[in-house]
Amino acid sequence: MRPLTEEETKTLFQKLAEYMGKSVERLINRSDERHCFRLIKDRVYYVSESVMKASTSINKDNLLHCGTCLGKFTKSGKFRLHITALDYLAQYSKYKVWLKQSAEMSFLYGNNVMKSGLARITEDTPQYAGVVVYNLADIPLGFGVAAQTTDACKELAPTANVVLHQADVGEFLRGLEDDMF
Amino acid sequence: MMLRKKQTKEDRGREEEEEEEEEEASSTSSSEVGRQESDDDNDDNDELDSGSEESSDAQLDVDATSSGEEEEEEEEDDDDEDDDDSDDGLEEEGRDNEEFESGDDADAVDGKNANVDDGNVRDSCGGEQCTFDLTNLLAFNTHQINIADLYRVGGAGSNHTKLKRADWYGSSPTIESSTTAGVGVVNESLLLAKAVEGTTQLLRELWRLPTERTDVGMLARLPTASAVTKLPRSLPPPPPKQPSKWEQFALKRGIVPQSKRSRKVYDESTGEWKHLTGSAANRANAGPESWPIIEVKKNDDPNQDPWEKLREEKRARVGKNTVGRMRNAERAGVLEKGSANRLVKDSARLEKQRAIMREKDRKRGLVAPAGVPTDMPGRGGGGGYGDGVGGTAIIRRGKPSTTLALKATQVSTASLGRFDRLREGEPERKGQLLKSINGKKRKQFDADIGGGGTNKNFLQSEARQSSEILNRVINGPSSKERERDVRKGKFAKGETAYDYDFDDGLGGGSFRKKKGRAGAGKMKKVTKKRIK
Repeated sequence: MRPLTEEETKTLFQKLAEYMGKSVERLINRSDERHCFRLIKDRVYYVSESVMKASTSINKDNLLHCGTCLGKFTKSGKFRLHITALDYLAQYSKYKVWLKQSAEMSFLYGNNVMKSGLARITEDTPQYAGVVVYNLADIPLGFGVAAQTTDACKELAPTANVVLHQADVGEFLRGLEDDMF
Repeated sequence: MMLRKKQTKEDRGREEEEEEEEEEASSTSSSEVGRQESDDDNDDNDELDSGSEESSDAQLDVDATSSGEEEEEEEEDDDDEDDDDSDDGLEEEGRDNEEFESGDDADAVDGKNANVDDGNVRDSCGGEQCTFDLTNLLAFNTHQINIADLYRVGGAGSNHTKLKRADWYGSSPTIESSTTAGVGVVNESLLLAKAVEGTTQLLRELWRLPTERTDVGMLARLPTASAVTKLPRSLPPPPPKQPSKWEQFALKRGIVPQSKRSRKVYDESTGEWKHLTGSAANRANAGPESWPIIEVKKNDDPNQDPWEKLREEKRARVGKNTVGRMRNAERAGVLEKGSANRLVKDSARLEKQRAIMREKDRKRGLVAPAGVPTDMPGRGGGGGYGDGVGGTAIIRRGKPSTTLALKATQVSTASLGRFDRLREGEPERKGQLLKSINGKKRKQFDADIGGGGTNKNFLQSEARQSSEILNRVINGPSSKERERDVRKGKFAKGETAYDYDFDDGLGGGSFRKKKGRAGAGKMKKVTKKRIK
C-alpha cells in the first residue's frame, strides 16, 4: 500500500472530474473524517484515515482491500473506474440520466442505452461527458458516457445510442471482471 | 574423383544386370555382333530405329566381354594420356548411353516409339532430360511417370522375370500376397530403367566438366556452388547502414583507417610492455591520472583537486561520445528521434540540481571537509587557531562540522568501513555517501512518509497537494504548461514530435516514419503540400 504519485493523482482526478466536476474537492476535504487515496497493487482505494492506519498493521501479502475501490490503473498508466465507485459518483455526479422501466434490464445486462429507453437527461450535457444512470425511482444503476449532447438527443432516431455503457450494478452478479473483487 | 574407374564398375555391374534381365528376351548373336561392330561404326541409329521390342531389348544386351573391351580400351587411353584418346572414350560412352536410353524407353513404354510425346522434356538422345546438382553428384528426374506403366495390375504375370532375379535385392522386390492381388505390382523394370537413364545422363554431364590431368589420372573439377546447394535468402537482406558523421568525413577526406596496432606498447615510465587499454594503473601511457604528484600550472586553481578535474573532463568526454553515438543512431533510423537531445537535457538538469544542492550544503556548512581544515568559516578572518587573547577569536570547528568529518572518516577505508571495529563511544556507521538529491519521488516514499503514509504531517501535506492538483486539473493547465506540453510533443498527431508540418527547405532528409523495414514503403513524410 502506498500513496499516489503526482502523476497518478492527476490521472485519477481527471477521470473523476469527468463525472463529478468540481465536487472532487469534496472527496478530499470532508467534514467528518479525512479520507485519502491509497494504491494496493495498481488499484486505487478511497479509505478513511483511521481505517488506513489500521490496515498498515496487516501483512502486505494478506491485505486485499481497504476502504472503497475506485478503480485501477492499467499497465499503460490509464485509470479505469470500477462499479464499486458508484456510491461516490452518484452522490456528486453532475450529469444524470434516468431510464424507463423497459430499458433498465437491458442496461443492467451491459448494453448501451437507446433513445427509446431514455426518460430524462440533465440539461447541457456535453458530448462524451461522464454520466450516472438512474432508474425512475432514483436508484443509481451504473455509469457511462453520454454519446450525444442533450440537444442532439432530441433529433436522434429511437434506436440510436444515447449513453455508452461503462459499468452497471449487474456486474456484481455477472462477475465480469474476475479480478475485480 | 576417379571418374572412369568408378563408372567402369558401375557400368559393368549395371550392364550385367541388364544382361541378366534381358536374358529371357532372347538375344540373337547377330545383334550382339552388330553391337560389337558399333564401336567403330557411327551408323548405330539405323539399327536403333528398328522398332521391334525384341531387337531393341537385344540391343541392350551388351555382352560383358564386349563392354569390358570397351572399358579396357578406355583405360588404355587413360594410360596413354592422350587428348584424342580421351575424346574417343567420351564418344563411346555417349554411344553407350544412346543405346541404353533408347532401349530403356522401348522397354519402359511397352513398345512405343522412342520419340514419344508425353509432355516431358527430352534430351538429345531421346531420354527424359534431368536436372543436375553436380556438386553433390545428383541428377533429378522430375518428369511425370505414367501411372499405368508404373503399376501393372494383375500381379505376378508380368514380373516373373524380376521375381526370379530376386537375388540382386536380397529379397523379393514386391510382396506377393493375396492383399496386393488387385492393387497392382510396381513395375521394377521401369524404375530401374529410369535410374539407369538418370545415371547415364549424370555421367554424361560429369564428362562435360572441365578436367585436369594429374598423376593419378583424369580428374574432373566439380562446381563449387550449384543452385541446389545455394539456397536463396529466406528474409530480405538488411538495409545498408547509414554511415556515421565521422565515417562520412573520413570518406570525403580520404582518410583510411590505420594499420593494426600491436596489443602491447612499451611504456616509457615503467620500462615495461603494457596494454593500451585498461585501468590507469595497468595502462601504458596512462597520463597524469596515474601520477602521484601533479604540478600546479600557471592557470590552475591551487585548491582544486587535479585528479577530480581530470575525472570530470573524462566524464564530459564520455558524455559527448555517448550523445554523438546516439545522434548517429538517430540519423540511421535505429534510435527514436530526439532521444539524444533528451539525454542532454536530462543530464544538464540533473547536473544543475546537484550543483544547487552542493551549494546549499556548502552554505550550511554541511560539507565533509577533505583533510585538515586550514580555512574555517567564521568571524576573525581566516586561518589558524587563535588563543582568544588579544582580540584573535578562537575559531572552533563546531559540532556539525566535526560529526560530518567523523562520518566521512568512518567510511574512508578501502572497504568503506564495513569491517572496521568501532571504537568506544563511536556512533554507528551509516552509508552517507549517497546522500545526493535525486528527485522528489524518492522523498515521498522514504523515511519522510513514516509508516506508509500514516504520518500526520504527511497526510496534511497530501491533502494540500491533492487540492492543488485538483485545481490544476479543473482549471486546465496554464498557458505555460500547455506550451511546454506542445513542445514536448504531447499533442503531436504523428509518431514523434517531429511530425509537425515544418519544412525547413532542406529536402526530405533522412526522416523515416517507421523504423526498420516497415519504413520502406512510408519513407515520404506526408505534408499538406504533398497531399495537394
